[in-house]
Amino acid sequence: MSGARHLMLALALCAFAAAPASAQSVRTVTVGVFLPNAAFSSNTERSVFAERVAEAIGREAGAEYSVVARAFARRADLVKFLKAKKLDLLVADPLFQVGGRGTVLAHAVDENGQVGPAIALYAARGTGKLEALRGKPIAVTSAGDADLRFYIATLLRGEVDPRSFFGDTRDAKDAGAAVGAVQTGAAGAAFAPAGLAAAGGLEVVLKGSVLPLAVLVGDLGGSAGDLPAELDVAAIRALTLGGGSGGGIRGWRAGDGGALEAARQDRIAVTSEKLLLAPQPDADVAPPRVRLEAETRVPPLSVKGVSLAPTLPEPTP
Amino acid sequence: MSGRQPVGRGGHCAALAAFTLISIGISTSTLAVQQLDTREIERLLGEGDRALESARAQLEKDNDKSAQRRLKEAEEAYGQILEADPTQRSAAVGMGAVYFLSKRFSQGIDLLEPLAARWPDDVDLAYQLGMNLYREGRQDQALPLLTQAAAEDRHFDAMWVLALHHYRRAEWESGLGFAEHYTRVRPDDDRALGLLGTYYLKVERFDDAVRVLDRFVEAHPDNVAAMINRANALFRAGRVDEAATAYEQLLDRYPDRLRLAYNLAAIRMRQGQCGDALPLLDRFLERQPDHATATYFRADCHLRMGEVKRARSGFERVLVLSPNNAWAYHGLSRIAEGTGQRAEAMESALKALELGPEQWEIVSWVGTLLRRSGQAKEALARHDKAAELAPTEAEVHVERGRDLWVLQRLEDAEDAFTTAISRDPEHADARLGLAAVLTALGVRSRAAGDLGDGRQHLRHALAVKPDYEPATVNLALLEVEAGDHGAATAVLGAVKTAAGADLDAARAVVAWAAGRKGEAHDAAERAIKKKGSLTALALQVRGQAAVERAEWRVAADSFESAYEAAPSPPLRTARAAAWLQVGLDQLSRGNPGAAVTALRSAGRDRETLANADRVNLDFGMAAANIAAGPNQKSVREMEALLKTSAFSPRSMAPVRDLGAVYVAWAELRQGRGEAALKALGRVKDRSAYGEAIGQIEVAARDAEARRVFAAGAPKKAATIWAGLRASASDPTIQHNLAAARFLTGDAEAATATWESQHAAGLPAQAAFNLAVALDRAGRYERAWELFRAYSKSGGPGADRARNRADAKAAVFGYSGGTP
Repeated sequence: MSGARHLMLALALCAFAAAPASAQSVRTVTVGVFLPNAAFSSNTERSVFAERVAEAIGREAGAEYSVVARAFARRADLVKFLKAKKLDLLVADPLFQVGGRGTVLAHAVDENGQVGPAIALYAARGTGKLEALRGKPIAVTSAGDADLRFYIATLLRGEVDPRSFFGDTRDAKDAGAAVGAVQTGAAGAAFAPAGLAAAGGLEVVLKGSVLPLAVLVGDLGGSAGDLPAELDVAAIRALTLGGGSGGGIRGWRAGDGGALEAARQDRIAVTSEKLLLAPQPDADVAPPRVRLEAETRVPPLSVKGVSLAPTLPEPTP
Repeated sequence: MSGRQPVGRGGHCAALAAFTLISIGISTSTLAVQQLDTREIERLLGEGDRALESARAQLEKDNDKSAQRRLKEAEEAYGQILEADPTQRSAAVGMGAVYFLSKRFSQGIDLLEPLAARWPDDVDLAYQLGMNLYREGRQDQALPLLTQAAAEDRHFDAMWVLALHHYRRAEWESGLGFAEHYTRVRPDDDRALGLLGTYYLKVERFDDAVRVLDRFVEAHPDNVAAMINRANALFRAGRVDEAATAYEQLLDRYPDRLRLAYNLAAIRMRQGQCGDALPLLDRFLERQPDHATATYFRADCHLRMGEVKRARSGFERVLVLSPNNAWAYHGLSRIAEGTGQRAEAMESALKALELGPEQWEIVSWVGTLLRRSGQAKEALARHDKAAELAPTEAEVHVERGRDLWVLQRLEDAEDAFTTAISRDPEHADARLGLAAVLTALGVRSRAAGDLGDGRQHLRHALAVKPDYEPATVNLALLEVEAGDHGAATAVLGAVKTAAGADLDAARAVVAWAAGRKGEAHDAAERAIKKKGSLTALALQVRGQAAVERAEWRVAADSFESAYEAAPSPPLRTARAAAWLQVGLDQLSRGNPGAAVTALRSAGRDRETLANADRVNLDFGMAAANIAAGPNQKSVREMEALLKTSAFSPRSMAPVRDLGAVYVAWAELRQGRGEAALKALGRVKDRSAYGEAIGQIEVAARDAEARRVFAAGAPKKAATIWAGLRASASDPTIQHNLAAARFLTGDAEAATATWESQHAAGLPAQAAFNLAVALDRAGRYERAWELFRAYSKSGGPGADRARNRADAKAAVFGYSGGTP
């Protein structure tokens, strides 16, 4: 977010807080929620979370706005809604938002108020090292377009070609499903946020970089049309004041917190390492070592004209 | 003249004979007194003489009464004769003696004067009359008579009187003869030796004085005056050490006689022992603090001992005690000169000269200061004056010689120094001056081509001052120039003293000329180390020796240094020839930077080189420039050079081909493979440089393959590399060909190639590429090991390999092992 926009939001926040309720017509604002990596134990829990978010924003936005929630379990459905411009605000997984439309207004934090949690590679207890997972299916939550690439680049630091290393890649609707696949033996391993309650009984083989569980996105050009900055401010305040907790999300902070940058992490994968050429040794190629012969001879020693001039110094006084 | 001995000394027969002779031609009046016969006269004379003799003996015994009685008896005897004959000379002489001993000088004079006038040749009459006259105080009348008498040995009293008379008047030349005569006649009278010793001292017959005074002091060991005279005579005779001993003994015996201390101090100064003189002078001045001369001596001593401050205050004190003391100003002038205050030195010297215009040392000192001030002509005038004042002083002539040396009047300087040596053959400065002048004359003659005259002068110089280095060196060089190496060797062989730098330089030259290379080398190195005037000559010997050994760099450095010290056309040629050889050497050894430097040095004297070498120089420079900096500028310069007329003859074809090869190499180094191949296309005869051409050709194609590989066309690159004749044997080409093939899908073959190369250790990049290949094949642990190993190489991609190894270790949990 640009500095100018921050300043504008701060001014608007003050004005909004002081503005009295008016009798103008109510505008409906739709908030989408897509958090496949959050720790919801059921769809109902996810829906309740979405409703609570909408209510909180509605409270902060005031009577002139009616905020409604729309929870998504599948990425494809969300994509359709966004294309149809039916959403005005979005609470989504950062991996989904990478490259997407809108502006990140806030990001989720963990119980310490930090960006988190870390990403982990779960496998059955006793797996040990990564090598043990060679050829086994991997379960990956489909939060975004390239979730597997993200996990390989970050957690596995690009050192593994997932196509040849793992067996099948199995998409899971959410993190709980991913680790569930491991627990049922449908997958050898799964990428999911660390500390996931559903992963109980599994072993963390690797733990890597951190990523927020959610970001708040505004400026989506949804059905409510262009929304005033006050609404964004109201949404941020609603979440940071406790309206956005649940599913492992312990709180919120304004701004993107580097979430998208983290989600965009990529590395030179093993498949793209460049080869080196051996240099031609310099000594091997040189001009010919030819000794040209000189003709001029050194004249013989002559003492003609050479003499030692006697001196007669004044005696020392 | 009477033959009678003086009365009272037993000359009776002679007196009688005289009496007889006088009586032969007597006048009538004389005949009238012949009352006494001859016998009676003889008796009376004998009686008188005996009484007179007895009176003398009594007087010597201080028996005055008895003496008076005897004198009376003599007077009566002589009186009877004179009464009978007043002209009886023997009686008159006897009576004169009685009057003299009775101190009745006027009566004696009255008696004898008429007789002496009548018989002027009578020595006895003259003697007796002279004695009475001298005692009467009529010395002007007495002296001629006594001198007349003193001619006779028997009248030694007259000699004594005269010796004493002149002594008291300090008429040394006048009295010396009488004193000498007396001591000859009266050898037992040792009193006279003291007198004679003094006479000798005064007339500056010092050795005689010492001899006589030695005898006197032996007889009179307590006579201090004589001992002092003897010591002084020793000092004046130049027997300074003996004089010092004499004064030491005197001072031991008479420690309170401070004059002795003063004199001994003067002797110590003459001996150059100011350290011994100073306590003596201090002792003297403690009692006589206002003694100006002693104060001066002490100040002079302080100056000689380098105690300038005390010397200055001493001389200033002398001027308080004796305001017009020229020597004090002289001393102050010497101090000022010694402390570098020339103007003040001259001011004091002129003041000294004003006060002591006839003091040769002061006049000479003014001259010396003038010469040191650059006024040699004026200096010479002063030293001429000093030479007039003290023609026997060697120092004056030495100073004249120095003036003439400065004025380059060598022949006159030779005369002056020769004169100085004649005055003092041991005068070191005189010998040095003459040797220097003769050497300069010898050098001048040699330069004019007159080797014979030069040789003569130089030999003369060595005769004056053997081992005089400039003469020895110049004579040796002269003999070398004359081609007489044996004579040159002999000249140097005669040197006894330790060798100086220039002597070693001469030894080096002579040994080199005589073919004694080892000796020449050693002497040259010594001379160079010592850094003398002829270092350039020694450097030439070193250079010549280096040429013989083909050590061109040593030769070039030697000739370079020699030229800087003593430029000459042959040395210019020598250094140019040597630098050219160095440049061509360095070029052929692949050291283009050193070659450029050397050839630039040769280029300074380009015109001294043969025509062919000028071409060599230009080509060598262009080739070295390419080798040192292969760029378009150096390529253009070489191409332009090869198009000049000097390179157009058919005989220059090999050089043109060589130039083309250099151009090709430069293009190759710039990554311009095609341009390199084009340049090689201009080579007419590839056989001369076949190996180099082959290498450049392969490298040029290799460069082209790299270019297309980097441009993302590995297949084209593989085609070029595969087409190289060296591809089968060159590991680098094999390696890179494998890379191209890997990228075009033949991973298996590439991996195999790199496996074997990695096992062989070459090239290093095989490890990295093998790691990449194995990584892609899923052999992660082996890839980790290879990345880790390659990361230690420090070669291209090492950092990347380290990152990959670290990442693999983190992800897969690899650890341990030796990278």
